[in-house]
Amino acid sequence: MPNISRDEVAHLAKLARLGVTDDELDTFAPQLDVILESVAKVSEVVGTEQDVPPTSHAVELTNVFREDEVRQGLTQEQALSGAPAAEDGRFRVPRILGEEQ
Amino acid sequence: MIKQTAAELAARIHAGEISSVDVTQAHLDRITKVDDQLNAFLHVDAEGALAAAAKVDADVAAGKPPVSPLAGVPLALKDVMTTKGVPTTCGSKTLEGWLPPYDATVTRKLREAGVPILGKTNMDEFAMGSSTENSAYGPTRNPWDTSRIPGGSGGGSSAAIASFEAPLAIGTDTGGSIRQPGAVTGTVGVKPTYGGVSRYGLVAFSSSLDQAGPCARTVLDAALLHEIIAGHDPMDSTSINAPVPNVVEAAKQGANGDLTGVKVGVVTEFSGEGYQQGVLDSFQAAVEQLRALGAEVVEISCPSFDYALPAYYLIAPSECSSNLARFDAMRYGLRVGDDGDHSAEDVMSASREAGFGAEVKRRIMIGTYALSSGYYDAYYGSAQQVRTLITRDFAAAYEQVDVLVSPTTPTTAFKIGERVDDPMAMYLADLCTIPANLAGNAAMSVPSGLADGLPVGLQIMAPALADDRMYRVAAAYESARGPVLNEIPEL
Repeated sequence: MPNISRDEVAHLAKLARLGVTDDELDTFAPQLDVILESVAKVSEVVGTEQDVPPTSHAVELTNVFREDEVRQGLTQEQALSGAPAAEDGRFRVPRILGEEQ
Repeated sequence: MIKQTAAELAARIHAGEISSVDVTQAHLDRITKVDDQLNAFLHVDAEGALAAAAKVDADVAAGKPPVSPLAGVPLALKDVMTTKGVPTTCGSKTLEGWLPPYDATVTRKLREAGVPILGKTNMDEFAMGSSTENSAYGPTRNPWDTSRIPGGSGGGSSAAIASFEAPLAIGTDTGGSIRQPGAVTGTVGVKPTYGGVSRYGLVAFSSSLDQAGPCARTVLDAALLHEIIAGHDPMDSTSINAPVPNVVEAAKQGANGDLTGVKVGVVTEFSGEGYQQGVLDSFQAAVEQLRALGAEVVEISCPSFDYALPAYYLIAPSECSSNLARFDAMRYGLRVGDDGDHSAEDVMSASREAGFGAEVKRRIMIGTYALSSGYYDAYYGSAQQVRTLITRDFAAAYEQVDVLVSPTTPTTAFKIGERVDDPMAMYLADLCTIPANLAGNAAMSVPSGLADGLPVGLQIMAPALADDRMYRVAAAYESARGPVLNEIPEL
């Protein structure tokens, strides 16, 4: 099924917010192709089996609730302690809106 | 002193024969002496470790009972566990210099148990790899042969205990990252039942598979550490609210060497092409040993295990592509290219490009692909169905036998550099370990001897919440097999 082109790798990288260089595209395209070709084997076995529900998790999960009461969390100082940039007790980020917006 | 087991060290510390400070200092000295050759540690916290040791010594001097069976015995912690105020990098440039504002539950439990934490061990970036070559801080070397890999992702932890830098270590196992490093370094590595040990503060790679566990030189030491870190944690919603299996008792019972009445299944899928002859020979000898100890041995076929590797290499990357979205260069971690002219999205892409290594990028892209509309059913959906088939195969097998056994890895430690450019060859190192992760079962590796001068591991698997069963079998086997690590060459 797969046949991953450089353009497709560039598209995946964009979706995943990953900058990639031209050299990386050359390396990744054949590698991802081999990996995806190999893992595509999963559809073979399932195709021959009837009625196989998917398993997303090994443990049966139920929602966990707790009393809605105030508990000690991180202080503002702790929460900002690893921030690349902070200002006035908040995370400072690059602009998030384009010029035309 | 550094060659003693954790149980022996604990007994002597608690009896006041030796001090925890001396024991901790001896291991710090060992790290200073040999770690240049191994690169097992990314960060050494001598001050913190010695302070914790001094507290244990003060308790002993005051006649107080030890706070835990391992109080005073130092440990090496995989750098994927957060440690408050102590660097935690996950082997990634993205987290270089990050000081977590909180302790992982495992870290907290170790502190409360009086276990001095010597430092943080090297690993494949975000635990993605089978050789520790994917660390941004250089590979760790195998103390048996420093031209070879120590396994991965937890190669720093396995190398540290094999080289007597630490008697105990913590690893995490998503597809074999505790057991495979254990196998190739001649040490014991345990992946507890999924949900048995809290994931709070374990930096997430693949949340439905990640599980922390003990690394040690003996089965009893692993069991003692297992009991300290295990147990329900309200901070992890996938943590199992059930009593911790009595693994210490099981290890002690097993040490009497009697396996009468125990049924062992040999997984027939894990042999043949791709397996090193020496590994298969060692495995056969181990199976004969189990039989000699009184176990009944039968062959068991688990046909879906042939599809475990491809299923894993879809599920783990899919979950990783989502989990690693948190590294967005906004709240913590590396940020590059924020010059005022670029948007948040540009900065995010540039930061992730600079902060992540090749394997992490590959897995994020594979996951992104597998979860895309149009491909989801064929890839991620099918992989989840394979997961069901594997769980069914395990369930059927455990109706017939108490534990399953296989080689832990198809080969002994390979050369550094040998598989870096061939991701699929690297992935094959996890062939035998992955099924237990997909089913959430317990599994461990114990040394089964040497092949061509390098260690081989015997994998013992058990149903979920029956971790004690595998400890009993492992301890019995260990007592009959005798030590393997005494054959390690001097560094």
